[in-house]
Amino acid sequence: MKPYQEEYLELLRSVSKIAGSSVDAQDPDAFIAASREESRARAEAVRRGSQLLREELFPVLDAILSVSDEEADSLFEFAGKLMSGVSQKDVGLHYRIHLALVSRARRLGRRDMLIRELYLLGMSLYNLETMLSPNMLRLYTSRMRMCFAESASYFDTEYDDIKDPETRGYVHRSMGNIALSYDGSDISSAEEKLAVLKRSISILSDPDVRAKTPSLPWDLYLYKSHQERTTLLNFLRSGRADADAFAQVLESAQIVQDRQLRDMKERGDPLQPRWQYAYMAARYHCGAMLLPELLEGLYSLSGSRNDDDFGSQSMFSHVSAPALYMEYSKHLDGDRFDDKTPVRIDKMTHRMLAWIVRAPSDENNEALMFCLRQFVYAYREFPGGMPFFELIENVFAARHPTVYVRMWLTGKIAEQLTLWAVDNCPGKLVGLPGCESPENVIWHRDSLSDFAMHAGRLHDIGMIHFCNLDASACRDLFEEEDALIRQHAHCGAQLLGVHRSTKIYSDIARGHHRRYDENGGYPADFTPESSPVKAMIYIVAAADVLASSSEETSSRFSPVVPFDEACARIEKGRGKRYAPFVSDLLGDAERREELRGKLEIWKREAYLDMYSRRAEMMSEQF
Amino acid sequence: MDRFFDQMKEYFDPIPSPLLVADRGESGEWRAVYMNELARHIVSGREEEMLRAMLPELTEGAESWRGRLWDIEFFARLSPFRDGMTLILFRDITSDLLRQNEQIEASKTALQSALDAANAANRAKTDFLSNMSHDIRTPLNAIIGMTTIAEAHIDDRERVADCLEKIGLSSRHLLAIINDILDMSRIESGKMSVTAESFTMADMIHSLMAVFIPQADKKHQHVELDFTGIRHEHVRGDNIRIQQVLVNILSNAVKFTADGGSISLSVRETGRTGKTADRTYDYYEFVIEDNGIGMSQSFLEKLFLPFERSSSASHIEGTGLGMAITHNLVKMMNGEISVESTEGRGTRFTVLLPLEQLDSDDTGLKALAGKRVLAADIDDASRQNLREILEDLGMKCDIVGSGWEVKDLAVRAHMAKDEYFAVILAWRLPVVDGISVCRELREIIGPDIPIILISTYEWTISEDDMRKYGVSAFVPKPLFRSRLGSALFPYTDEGRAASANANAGDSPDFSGKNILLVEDNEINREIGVELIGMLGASVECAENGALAVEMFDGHEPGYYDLIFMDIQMPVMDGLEATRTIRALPRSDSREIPIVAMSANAFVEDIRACQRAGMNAHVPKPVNLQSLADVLQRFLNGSGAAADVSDEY
Repeated sequence: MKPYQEEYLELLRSVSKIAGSSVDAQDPDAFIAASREESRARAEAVRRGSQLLREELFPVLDAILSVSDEEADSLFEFAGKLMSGVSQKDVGLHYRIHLALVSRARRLGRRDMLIRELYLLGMSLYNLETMLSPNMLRLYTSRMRMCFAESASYFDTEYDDIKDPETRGYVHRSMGNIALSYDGSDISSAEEKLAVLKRSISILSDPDVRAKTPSLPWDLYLYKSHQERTTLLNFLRSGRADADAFAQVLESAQIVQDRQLRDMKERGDPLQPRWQYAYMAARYHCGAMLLPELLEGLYSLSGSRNDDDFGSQSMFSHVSAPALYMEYSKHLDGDRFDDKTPVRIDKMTHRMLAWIVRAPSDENNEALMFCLRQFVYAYREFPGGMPFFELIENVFAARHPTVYVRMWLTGKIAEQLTLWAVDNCPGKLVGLPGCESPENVIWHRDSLSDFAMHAGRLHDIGMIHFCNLDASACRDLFEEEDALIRQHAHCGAQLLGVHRSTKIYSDIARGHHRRYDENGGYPADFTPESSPVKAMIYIVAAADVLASSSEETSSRFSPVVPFDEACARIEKGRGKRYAPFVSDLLGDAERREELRGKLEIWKREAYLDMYSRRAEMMSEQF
Repeated sequence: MDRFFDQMKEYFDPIPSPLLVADRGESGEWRAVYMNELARHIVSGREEEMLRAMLPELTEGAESWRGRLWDIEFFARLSPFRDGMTLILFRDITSDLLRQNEQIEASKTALQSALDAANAANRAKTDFLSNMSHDIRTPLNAIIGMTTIAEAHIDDRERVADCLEKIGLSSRHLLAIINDILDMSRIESGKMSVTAESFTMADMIHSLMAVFIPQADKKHQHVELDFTGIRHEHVRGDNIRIQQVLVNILSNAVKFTADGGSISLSVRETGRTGKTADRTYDYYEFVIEDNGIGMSQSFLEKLFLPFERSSSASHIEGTGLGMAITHNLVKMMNGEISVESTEGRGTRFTVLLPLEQLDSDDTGLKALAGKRVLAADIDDASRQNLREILEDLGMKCDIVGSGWEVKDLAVRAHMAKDEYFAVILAWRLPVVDGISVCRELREIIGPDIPIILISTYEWTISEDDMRKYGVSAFVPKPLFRSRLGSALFPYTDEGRAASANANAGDSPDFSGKNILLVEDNEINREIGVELIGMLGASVECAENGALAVEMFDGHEPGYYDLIFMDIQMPVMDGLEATRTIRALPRSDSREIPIVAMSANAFVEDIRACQRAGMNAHVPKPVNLQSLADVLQRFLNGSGAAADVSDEY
């Protein structure tokens, strides 16, 4: 590898060590100091990493069609390390490099290289899209499918001409991976996925095909295809699967189950929770187990691992099993709850929070955020239980305290702006819940201030998909990542929209990056003016930029904007980016100074709040 | 006083009981001073008699009176009124009682009918349940039994395979029963609704045939199809439900018709129309006829009731719900269904369904008029059908029954230099099949004359094979005017022109546009020139930013339509070059689209390009699609810049 590549990998390692180090601080002051250090170190890493790529890598990519084979090989090796040689992966850079290598292989007519690169590019796209999971947004699905399908198509055309066993392996892996591009969430997608896997499994089982390249790990490929087919278990319960689909999926579930049992036996281990669940799910989906039994099983799995075990199976037990329990329990009672469900959800939620607040930031971090998203998306609010907004705030305080602090500050600023608006221009808040007239606005002053506080604290919860992307990288963002992160507005709105306690904040999450004049910003199809909470969208949009003035909560996504500059932006953007009444409120010098002073106090309060929340989560009483 | 009652009339008349006001006159006798309309109706002229009858009560100032007058039992309530008068509200108890009795009797009858109906329904459901418990238990027992046998003979492959086959059959039967029950329950609970979507009869009937033909084939039944009565194929209705109705009837026809029997399906437009507020409907008639076991008159009467099964059908699988579902579905679609049947002779179902006819654009098919076609099909009915369709398209046709005849006519036409416009061949022809005829024909008539293959059977050869055999297109049977016309149209002059236009629309053409490509890397430059050239535009190149500025400024305004600009270049980089161009004192310096082409794909770099005055950014390595998108956007489209918001 080239020196710049080694240095970049080293930067990635150092960034992963920086991430989350501040949470070990003993008090808020120490935390603030440590966070500031963390921010600076990360910013320096981003600066250096971007510089390395601009000066060393981009010129190579610019001339990728004329670089030597040796240079291309070094890129290939570097890209491989980005996904496996470091604790924090760099999916975006992996994608960029393989995109260039695909072009090179295509242009130079290097068939074997093209097959390999298409497979790896498909995997990059898959990893990018995984960041959005379990949200059903699909940004890269069709491109991913095209990469895998093109690579797999060599089986039908030039397979016998391919002499390199590894390349043949890529053809088979691509064929199986086409299935990754079908999520099985609707009937046509499930049918396509089944068809793709059926073909792949039939080829992988064909002794004549195997005999052509005996050195390939055929059984592993076959097993992976069966594993992928078991993801369609849900489809069996949809009422739309036919007998053939049942037979295929259950056959795969059986094969996966047998192999797991065999491996466990060989190692002398007990069956792991994840595979215990897979076994139960297969039985449930084929009708051999009833839903209450499955729920009992999941509930007992959720408490099956020691609270001090932070391994991946314990993660399944503490986070995924409760998420699955909640998801399945929706089928049992719809919107109603039986006696057991609320008690259990409450217990599992508290246990989950106590576990995640103590779980280290290590190589399992990405997987943990994935499971947490599963939990958050599956969460069921019930009367007397933890409201959804409490849950989500706890999750941020536990895993991404600086994001929590930033959202808390946004809440306080939004609250202050709202109070000023009530006192100075109540007519601008008419239309907010319960406020049909300026008199109503004044009457509801306290409620509106609470509303603003929560709106600010919840507006960015869609970032739960991208916090790790921010914390782990040491370079500027690529276009693809930019497009992904913009989805946080949509994801946040979707999450808030399904719960009774947070439904009202959904439009605020959706619209806080849309310009007031609707001439830009995102999402482009959203019109704040048509929202009943438009005034609060405008207030939170301004509060968001004002909250960026704190260095210790800054990040790649929210770089520091000094307080005066933030105020100047809001003033300059009057009637364009920002609502005129919000700009006018901040146009008053006295108010600006008041806000500046309060921000310093709130910052401390935010840290104290975050600290007490974390302590509560860690305590046994929680 | 009269004036007083005139005023009170307004209040007293609407009272729903007879009312009378009595006053003692100077002579001491009671007389009626006012009666409302109801009272007048009952006692008019006899009021003195009534007052006399209640005299003791009136005199005593009693609160009520009850007595019999004119064979009517009365009850009256007496109340003191102003100035010593008495207000009498009375009721005809006899009529009330009669009415009450009548009501009670009517209720009793209604209750009895409801009870009878409920009992009947319950009886039917009980019968159904007892039938069902048998019907469900049978396949379930078979499944359990066969599983036990298979387990006991697990090493006997043949035995296990036999058991598995039976398990499969029983499972499918069980599924069919459950599906029927669920459908019926959805209809009964009002959860099934009818939708209106546009579809073509051709598509609907082809998917129907995909289910029906294999069933009939299994029993070697002869199938006759007649769709010549369809003049308007493009309609609006509930495609799925119509298919469900027809599948139910056709499946019954297959089920209740012996091996080798006959089944026919015909569809025609009746000419009858219907109307709602905003739509006009035309009735289509679907007739399904078989020569199966038929039904008795007594069973025909109960055919559409749920849970009823013919005693003669006890050996046939089924829930007895199919016809009830069919009947309900037809009713839901505002249609009509009738059945005629004779035991031992067969059954004929007629379904009338209102469908909205939609306009279909088949103006292109006019191009086929006058063209001469040579066709071959296996039987008279098919040939007749084919002839009617071709003549309806305005075509002239020679239709024969064998491949030999086709070959003979084609050779003659070829020799006479009077070629047919097209040849249509059925796949199934006597002695030599359509594909073989096609291969031989190509030897004679060459590659230019289209040969269309038609068949009821699933098309299993690939497009490549089809070309190899010389087949130009395939049209599935049953034949429809629209499908056959669409298959022939591309070979007319109009069709060829339309196809050329469509292809022109598919791939953008930027001929006449002049692009300046600024790129220092020679290979990238070559590729850029090649790709842009493929899109039809002409390209001039500059090796660095300074040269680009020079070339742009050295030509008259409007000479270049767009500039693709690399970023990292020697002498002058892309950002600097863009800023320089934008600052030039020329009319087009601010308008010309400048698009960055760079491997620097950080969002920050893209924003830097935009700040320098560039309109867009194409990441390297570039491909044809990304270039085409940019050219389309800036040379043919809005040229709107992408959102550059830097907030998250």
